[in-house]
Amino acid sequence: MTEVTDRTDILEIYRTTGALRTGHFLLASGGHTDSFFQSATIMQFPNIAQELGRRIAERWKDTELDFVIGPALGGVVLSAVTAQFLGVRSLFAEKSNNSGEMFIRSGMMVREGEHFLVVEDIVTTGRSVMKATHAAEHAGGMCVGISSIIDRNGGATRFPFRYRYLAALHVPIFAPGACPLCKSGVSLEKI
Amino acid sequence: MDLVENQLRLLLAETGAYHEGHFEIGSGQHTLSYYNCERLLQYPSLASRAVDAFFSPIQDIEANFVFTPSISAVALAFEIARRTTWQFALHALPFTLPDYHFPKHTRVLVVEDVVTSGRSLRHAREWCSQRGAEIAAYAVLVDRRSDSGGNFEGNTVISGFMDPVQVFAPDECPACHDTIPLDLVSPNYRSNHQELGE
Repeated sequence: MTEVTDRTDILEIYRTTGALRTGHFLLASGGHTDSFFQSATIMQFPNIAQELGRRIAERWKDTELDFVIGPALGGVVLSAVTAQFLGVRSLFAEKSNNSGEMFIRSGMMVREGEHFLVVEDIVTTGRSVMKATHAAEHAGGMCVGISSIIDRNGGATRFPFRYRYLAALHVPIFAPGACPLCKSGVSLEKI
Repeated sequence: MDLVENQLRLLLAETGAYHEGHFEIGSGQHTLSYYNCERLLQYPSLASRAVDAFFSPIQDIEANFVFTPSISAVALAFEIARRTTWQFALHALPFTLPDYHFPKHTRVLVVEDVVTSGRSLRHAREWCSQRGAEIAAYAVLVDRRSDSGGNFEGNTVISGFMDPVQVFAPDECPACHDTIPLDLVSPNYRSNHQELGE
């Protein structure tokens, strides 16, 4: 089992588990990048997932919360482990088949005015975090904060709520026409 | 009713996860009861109690990986992974994990909250074996298949309890016959479960 302590560096966790991949990748947003954080790989280790959940929970322990919600798939396990430490419910939001929006299954009832925290593995554009936020607000909840393991914009991401990340990394994203990896002929991998 | 079944039924009833009535499920067929376990599993402490109830046969399984094909079963699957310290993976349609491959000598325990037709277990089996893993067993909270015999395609299914569901074609449904109004299981519930055919 990969060992982690409460001081192990986030980037180190991604590196040692093989979750930090380098190459030439096409992101869901359409941009190109040379490195990619595959969080599903680190979430395979229950002790690591728990340690990350503990660290996020630590940053919100003084905030009154009713539930944590994570957008599928990246935020689902993180939501479960964070909620466990905070002693609150864990919900998930998923993409609707028809529109590009997210929804919450009717089984997970949100009461009017409940306070929630949104968690996500990696924030790049912030789009899925905002979709999960809208889904939970639509169900009656009130967003009090957002957390992620990594902010890929080097800490420059802004949300209309308090945002606390575990690590800020600046990883350049290139427009397809201006990608140096394309120019040097490295084959592109869709992720 | 044994102790495990009793404990689990209580947890499901207390959280409103068990419903009786007249429901149309994803397949278009009708049923008189259904479970939405996310109502229970959204509480980490109760998910842990649910695992308590049927954990003892699980720890005897020779596996080293927990896999779930269902987002709603993540809390259950993760709790099992945490206790066994086996590795953990989630893959739920329609999402894809690119290039995913299990490590060598992986033996998977597939975890699901409710099994009705067995289609999600079949999806899990195919997904895992295409990626180099062997199925060790299945663990489900509620097994609603009829005559399942506690196994699926040759592997053991450990279940919290069995509650075979009766499904009816709309024109043969006794509740329709008695003109009991049909409770459409919410569109959200349906749209999700349709994909796995549950």
